[in-house]
Amino acid sequence: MDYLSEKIVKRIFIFFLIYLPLQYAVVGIVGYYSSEPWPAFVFPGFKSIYVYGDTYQINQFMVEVESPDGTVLREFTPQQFFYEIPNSQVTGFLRSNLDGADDFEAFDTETRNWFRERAQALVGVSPGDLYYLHRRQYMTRFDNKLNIDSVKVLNRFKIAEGNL
Amino acid sequence: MIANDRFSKWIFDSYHPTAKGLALYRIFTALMFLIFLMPDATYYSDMADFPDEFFSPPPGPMMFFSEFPSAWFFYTIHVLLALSWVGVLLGYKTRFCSLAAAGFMLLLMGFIFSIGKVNHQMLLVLVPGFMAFSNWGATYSIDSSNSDIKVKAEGWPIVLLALFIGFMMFTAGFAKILGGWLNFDTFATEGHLLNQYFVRGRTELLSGFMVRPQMPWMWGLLDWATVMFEVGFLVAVLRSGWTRLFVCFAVLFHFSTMLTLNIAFLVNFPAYAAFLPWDKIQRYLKTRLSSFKITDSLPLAFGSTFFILFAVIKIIDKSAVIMTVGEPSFDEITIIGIALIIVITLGIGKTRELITTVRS
Repeated sequence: MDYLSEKIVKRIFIFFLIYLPLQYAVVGIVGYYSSEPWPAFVFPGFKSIYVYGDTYQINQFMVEVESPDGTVLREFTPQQFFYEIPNSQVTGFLRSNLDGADDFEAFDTETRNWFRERAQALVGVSPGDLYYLHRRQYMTRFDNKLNIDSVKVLNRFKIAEGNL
Repeated sequence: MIANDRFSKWIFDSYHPTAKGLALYRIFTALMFLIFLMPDATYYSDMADFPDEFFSPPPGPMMFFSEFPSAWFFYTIHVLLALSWVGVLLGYKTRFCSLAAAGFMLLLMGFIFSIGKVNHQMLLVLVPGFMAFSNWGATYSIDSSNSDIKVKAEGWPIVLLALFIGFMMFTAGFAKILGGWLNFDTFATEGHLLNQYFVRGRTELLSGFMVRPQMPWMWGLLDWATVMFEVGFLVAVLRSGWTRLFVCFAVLFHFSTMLTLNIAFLVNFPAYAAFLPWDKIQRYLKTRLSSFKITDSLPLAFGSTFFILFAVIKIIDKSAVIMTVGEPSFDEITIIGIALIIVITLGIGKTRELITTVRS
């Protein structure tokens, strides 16, 4: 087991001292225009801020399963509907795969079938249409409790048709 | 010239690990990976069954692929990863096995993150990748029993690891500064707590207790403390003492985020463990074991003890007899809790040393 000479080790350090800030700049630029590149030597920023004074906004994402007659059969959180995806990855998965879409035609037949089969497995009956719902809850603090002021539906679109 | 000397001193004189100390760290790390940090194999068949459209690789080399590979591919890489770590554990072709462990982990993570979300777990790759060059297989290993050549334990890979941790921490802190965490009229920590609690369903441990109180001064203080800790880590890597102090802060930080946000980040802990005084631990254990006349069996006793301890924790975790929730899991709470106890013990020891020094 040989080991590296001091000269080579120093060069390795110089390389990384230059490389690390450069890759961080690339992560910032690519992340801004697309999504975070990988592999990258960064830790999560958690830079978003949700609390301004006493008001708070919560973005909720749901998968809504209708019955064939068009009434809402059940709502699922993404963690319930995509239960095999680790919790740490669900939000990113939605951002990459569902947020950019606005209609079921954005998905191919294989994906729509997968949605339908998943819904059927979860509700136990043949489902109607499936919707992806993005709503926002506005909350304020009162008496050391968070109270919901209002709920606004920001987006709701069909991700799969039922009963084909 | 002076700058060059300082640069060399930083690289080569910051840490002076002993071969035996590094060997104990190697055994500890290999067991940590094998028992707690391998990717969840039950997820592979799920991934392989996802529609191709769910394959959303991050910008980078994974874009060369167009779909998730079949489950057998994942299982093959998983077995190779496990075998690499067994090689590291036994010290068999240690450098090769360490680099292989880094490579296989990188490949698996690449596919797992191609679901559309990158997790920040690069330390799982960097630890074996860097420590491969520390000669952590120089003793208590099959390699050493097959060769008479004495090799020196290298400290510079630990400096390199510290540099990467420091820089990665800095990126987290810098993003927070840009995001406005230091503004006095915003409370980012509180926001993330509420977001994790209400949106992601992370409602375990102290999170329910923490969402209730309205204490703007505390949230503001936590915002500032988090940013100072993360940004300051990069400066701390310049000295080994500072680095160790910030690693202790990191353990406290992860313990508190686990209690409140239910985010455990166990993946960082093998890297933090590199900064433990392994040579002192080795000497301490040798003294203790000498009374039982089993000094020669130190690596076996050390490895067996940790194997049994980790296995018991894992069995309790999987059987869900104590906790039924998955996030944070029982093993994460236990390991991070033990890390906190170690940090407190080291802190008390250092404080005593300091008091003795001041008195004398």
